[in-house]
Amino acid sequence: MVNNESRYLFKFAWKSILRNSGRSFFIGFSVSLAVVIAVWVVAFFDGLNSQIEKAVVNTNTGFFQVQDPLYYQSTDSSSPREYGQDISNLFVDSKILAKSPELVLDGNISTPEGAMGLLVLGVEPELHKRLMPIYKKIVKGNFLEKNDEFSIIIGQALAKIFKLKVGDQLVLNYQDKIGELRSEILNVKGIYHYNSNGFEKRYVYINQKSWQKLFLNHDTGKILFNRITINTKDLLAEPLISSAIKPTDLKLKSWKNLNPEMAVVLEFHDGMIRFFFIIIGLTITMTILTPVRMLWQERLKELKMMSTIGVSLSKFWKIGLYEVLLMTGLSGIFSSLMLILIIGTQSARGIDFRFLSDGVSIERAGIKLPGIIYPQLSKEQLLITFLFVTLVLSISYIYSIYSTLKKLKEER
Amino acid sequence: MKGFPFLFKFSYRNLWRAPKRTLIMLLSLSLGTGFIIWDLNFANSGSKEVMKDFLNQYAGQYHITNVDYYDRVNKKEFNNYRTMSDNQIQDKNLLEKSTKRITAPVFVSGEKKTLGVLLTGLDVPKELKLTTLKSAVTIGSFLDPQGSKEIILGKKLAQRINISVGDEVAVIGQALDGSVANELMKVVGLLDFGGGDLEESLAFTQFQTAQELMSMSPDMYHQRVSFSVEEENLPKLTGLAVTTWDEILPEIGVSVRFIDNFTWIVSFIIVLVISLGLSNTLMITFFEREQEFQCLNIIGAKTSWVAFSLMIEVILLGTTAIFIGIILGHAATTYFYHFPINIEIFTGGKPIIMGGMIIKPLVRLYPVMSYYWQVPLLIYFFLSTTMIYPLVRVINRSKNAI
Repeated sequence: MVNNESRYLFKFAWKSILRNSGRSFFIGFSVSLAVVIAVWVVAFFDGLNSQIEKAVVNTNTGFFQVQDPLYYQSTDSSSPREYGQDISNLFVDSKILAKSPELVLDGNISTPEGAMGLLVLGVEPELHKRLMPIYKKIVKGNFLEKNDEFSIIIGQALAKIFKLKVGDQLVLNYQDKIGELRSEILNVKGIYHYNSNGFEKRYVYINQKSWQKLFLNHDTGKILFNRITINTKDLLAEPLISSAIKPTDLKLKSWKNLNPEMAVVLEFHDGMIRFFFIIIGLTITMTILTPVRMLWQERLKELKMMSTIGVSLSKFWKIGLYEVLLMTGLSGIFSSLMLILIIGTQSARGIDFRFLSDGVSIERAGIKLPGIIYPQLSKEQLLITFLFVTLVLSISYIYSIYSTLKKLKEER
Repeated sequence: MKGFPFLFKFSYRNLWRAPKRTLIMLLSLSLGTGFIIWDLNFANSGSKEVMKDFLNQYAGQYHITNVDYYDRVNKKEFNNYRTMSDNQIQDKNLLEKSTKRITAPVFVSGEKKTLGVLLTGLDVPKELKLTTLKSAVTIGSFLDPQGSKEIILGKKLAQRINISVGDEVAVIGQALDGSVANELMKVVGLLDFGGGDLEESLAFTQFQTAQELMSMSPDMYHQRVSFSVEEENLPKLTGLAVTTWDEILPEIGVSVRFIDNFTWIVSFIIVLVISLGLSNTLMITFFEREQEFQCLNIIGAKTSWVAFSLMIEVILLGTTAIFIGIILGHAATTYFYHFPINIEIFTGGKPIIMGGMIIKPLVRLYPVMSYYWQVPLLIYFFLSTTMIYPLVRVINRSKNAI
């Protein structure tokens, strides 16, 4: 409960702010504008980073991959593990959105049209459907089924280069488990159009049964894996997965380990934001310091009078701190409203940055770089907004109150 | 103009009436100016150093090729059957400044795996002179200029096909005469690109080995790569195409342009925030002296005279601050020219990977002369805008003085 004295001082602080409403508005507006800009930049980069992360994760990378030790070491697929109930049970948590046991084979296609390296993924169709929406992105033909025999799903870009249609046969060259060079015929069952051109050229899908027959020379009748690709909401699930695989010899890799180039891009963006925040913080603190100081020094006579009638210095401090509180509240609410309005609109419409690349779609490190960026406003950013406003205003007010009261003491 | 020296003196003295306040305003504007100049110099030098480091490693500033070698729309696609020779280059100086290369999309076969790579045949002595590719070989050695049938692979690729230095790999591709190209090559070194994509997709061999593998005549090759950074005007060659790195690697160009644009946006924001604060302070300062202005009006000073004196005050303050800011910005730029900045500070010490390669640029800051007038102009513009509202209010109030 607030006692009477505090209530009175709070009212006093409010009236002091209103006494120079224009000036108070200017101070609040300067702080709010700086905060809006700073948070907008954060929201913009959060949006960009999240789009980059999504693009990487959707290249069948997942947020995490749990890999068998040999595959982890050298991407050697020759010792796949069984994906039994014991392994499946390791990844049962509400944070784990999807898991797909996958077998990986490096192959190539060589025709008069040219030659290209392929990554042949042996998947369990039903589990893979939960991981990636490839099955929804089939533009011709159909997606895989569990019992298909030597059917393959290819990307539209690959189909275009090698002039392949649904029903055509594709000759896959590869080395099998014992290292023997082999060429096998696969039937094109479906063509997908998804993610980047690079992805469509490289990733092809077959079911586990076909993969095992191609690489191991027989179907074990079991689900095997070189890696389990896992989708979560974000990277925060790492400790959970890490502790889940602790009793086993399986190894964990996050998308940042699997695509270090884009991971560094994100780190670089974060570094830039931190740098920008410091600079904006310093600028706004220095900028509002003078008006706040003038605001307090102008009241020196009034403070002297109050001091003469017995108001203690601690009460002046209390008034000052209430002013900070009120200004923080006002500026914070104003900033938050502006942010919700601006970012709310932009997060729906996006900001078009395609002019930087003359409208051409750009791919980097295997992903399509976003041309239209959708800023993201989160609760954390609003919290940061309030903290930032509080910090900036507190520094300016505390310094101003201190210097004014110091002068008051000297003059008394 | 007669009264100007008096007006100037009057305005100057007014500034020193509240020295602390003036100093804080001066400081915030100077630091802002200084920071913006430094920041723009940093962004410019940073982009240049990063690109220099990246391009000097392998990609080069521009490629001279057959007109049909690179696809007209997508420069990532190339037609390996389109070759060129030195005879097609009239300006023989270009031969000195560039190195010739042969590109061959091939499969490299190890004990357990066969993977696709782009094998590049290098003129080894020239590459050693013009590029820093050698420094990326961290295990084993670079190609022997006198040797043949040697190959350098990326670390990641070697790991995937289970190959070490000293082992042999089979290289299989399609020669330009349509025959199957195959050769056994000895791995002499491994490239470390920090785990970037190119560690898996590039391999290098001697020029002659690649020429033989691809069944090419001795004078033919695919690219002539120039590393000349100072090259302002691209050479104009008849019958050949000149393609810049920006066209070959648009993703890198976009990333660099993105950072440059971001720096300008930050500069505008800083000036805007400072201007708002200044406007506030100026307004308080002007209103505080309202009585004084009214007194001046009473003793005969025109409103325009008062307004003019206030303008001189702001211009004096602004010019001094901008001058100090330029000195500060230039001093900081000069300091970081002598003590370059490692941009890994932005990634928490993690190496930067660009275009599939690791780069370790130390950014040495160079002053860009155009910033030294562009930034003051920007600040003067905002300062003038800042002054309008307080000035209009002072003029309006002065009208009612008598």
